[in-house]
Amino acid sequence: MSLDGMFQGLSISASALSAERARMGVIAQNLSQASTTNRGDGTPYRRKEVVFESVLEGTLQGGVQLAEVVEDSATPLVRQHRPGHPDADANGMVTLPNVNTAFEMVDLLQSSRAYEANLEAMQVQVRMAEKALELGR
Amino acid sequence: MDGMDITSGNIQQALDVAALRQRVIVANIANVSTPGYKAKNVSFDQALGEAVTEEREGVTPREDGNTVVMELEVADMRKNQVAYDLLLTAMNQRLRLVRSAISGRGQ
Repeated sequence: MSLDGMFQGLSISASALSAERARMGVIAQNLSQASTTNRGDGTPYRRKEVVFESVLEGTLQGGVQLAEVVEDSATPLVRQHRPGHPDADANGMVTLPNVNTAFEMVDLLQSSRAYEANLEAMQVQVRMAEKALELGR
Repeated sequence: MDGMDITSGNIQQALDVAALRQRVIVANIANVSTPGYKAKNVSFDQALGEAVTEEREGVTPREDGNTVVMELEVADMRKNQVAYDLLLTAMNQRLRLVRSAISGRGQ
């Protein structure tokens, strides 16, 4: 295994680790803001979603990167009757964020598993390189 | 190892293919969350005498078009690791033979 090739493989796994970490960060934000009815401009928080893309050229070719973080405007906001709430409208209805805790938890689990798999891939590569270094001993 | 003999060359080539395959598997694992990503596979073309990277076939894409099956990739990665180790062992045996030939002694 060429040294360059090995480093490229490790960089690919590392790119996925950082992308999955960013994804987990966004999920954590969604969970923590699940009840924010006013984010400063009078509108409730809207859940965010990461978009990944493959790296097609350069040293990270074959790796993955965070393309953008988009706001989920497709999932409807939740309406609840809470007359005592300061953000309630004339009818006593409060608009809550479109965060579904169960959904976020599933996403978090998937991301966490992907992170572990990439870490494993990295360890396998390091072990292979170590074996190769023992050649001729 | 160039020109030493054909067997060492063969092992060398097989090691290169295993290293390339490892990189491709690692890239598949890295892209498990990338929408539309197509998992790739490395095979050795006997006729061409070189490694060929192509899209993995026979996998039903997920809803987002991704064709990475984590279980397959991890199994392939492990298989490839074992193959790589075996090839290195074979190479070490060759080197030992050469060394005894040079020194004129047994092990």
